Amino acid sequence: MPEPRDANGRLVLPSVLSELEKVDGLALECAKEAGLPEQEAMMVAIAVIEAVTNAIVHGNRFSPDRSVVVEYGCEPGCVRFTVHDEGEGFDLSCVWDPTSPDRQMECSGRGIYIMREVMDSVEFDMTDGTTVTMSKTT
Amino acid sequence: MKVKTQMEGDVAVVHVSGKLMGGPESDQLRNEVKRLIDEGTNKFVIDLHGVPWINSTGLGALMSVYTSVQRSEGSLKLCNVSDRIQSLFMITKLLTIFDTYPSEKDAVGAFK
Repeated sequence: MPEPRDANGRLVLPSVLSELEKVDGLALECAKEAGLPEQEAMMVAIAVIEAVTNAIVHGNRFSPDRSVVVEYGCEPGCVRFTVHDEGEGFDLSCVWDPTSPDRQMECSGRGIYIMREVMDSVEFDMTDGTTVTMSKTT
Repeated sequence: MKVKTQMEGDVAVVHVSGKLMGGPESDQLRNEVKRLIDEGTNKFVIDLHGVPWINSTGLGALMSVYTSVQRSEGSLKLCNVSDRIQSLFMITKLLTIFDTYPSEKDAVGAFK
C-alpha cells in the first residue's frame, strides 16, 4: 500500500534501508500519474531508490540523527525528484564507470551510473549535504 | 529477508525471499554461501523467486557471492529473476556475468 502523498510533495525519512519500500511506492505512483508507461515508471522507481540508498548509506551513514528528504512533483509527461541528505558530499570526479571491464566485478559503485542511465537529467549540488535532482520525460 | 537452502544432489539451491537492499540482511546470503563453500559445495543456484526487487547494494551482495563462488572454482546460476531485477542487470551490463534461468529446474538441470 503506497504511503499517502504529502500535499507539498515532500517526504522526510529516517536513515534506514527499510524506508526504501515507501520510496518505491511513491516513485511508481508519481511516474504513473505523470503518464509514464509501466516499464518507464519501474525504471524511474529504480533510479529514485538508488538516490535514496546513496543518501542513507553514503550520505547520512545510517545516522539516526540525520534525515533524508525526498521532494517530488509530476505533471503530464514529466516527473521530477529531489533527494537531499545531511552528509559531507563526495567528489563526483571519483565516480567510475561500473560497466568498464576493470570495474565490472566491483561490489559497489553502480548507484549513480544507474540514475544517469535511467533518468533524462541528474544533477548534484553539494553545498549543504548532497542534493540530487533528477527528472524523466516521456 | 530470508535465506533457505535445499540440496538437489550436489547442487545447493539457495532460496532468497524479501528485499535484497544491502545492509546486514545481505550478510545472510553471503554467510550462507560461504558456509556451503566451506563445506565443499561448488555448484550453486540462487532462486530469486521471492525477491521482487533489489537495489545496487543488493546487486553488490550478488556480485560478492558470485566472486566467492568463482574463487572456490565453483559455478553459480540464478533463477526466477523478476523483470525488474532483469532490467537492473541489463542497465549495469551484468547480464553477461550472471547465468540466469527461468526456473529452478532449468538452473539445476544446466549443471548436468
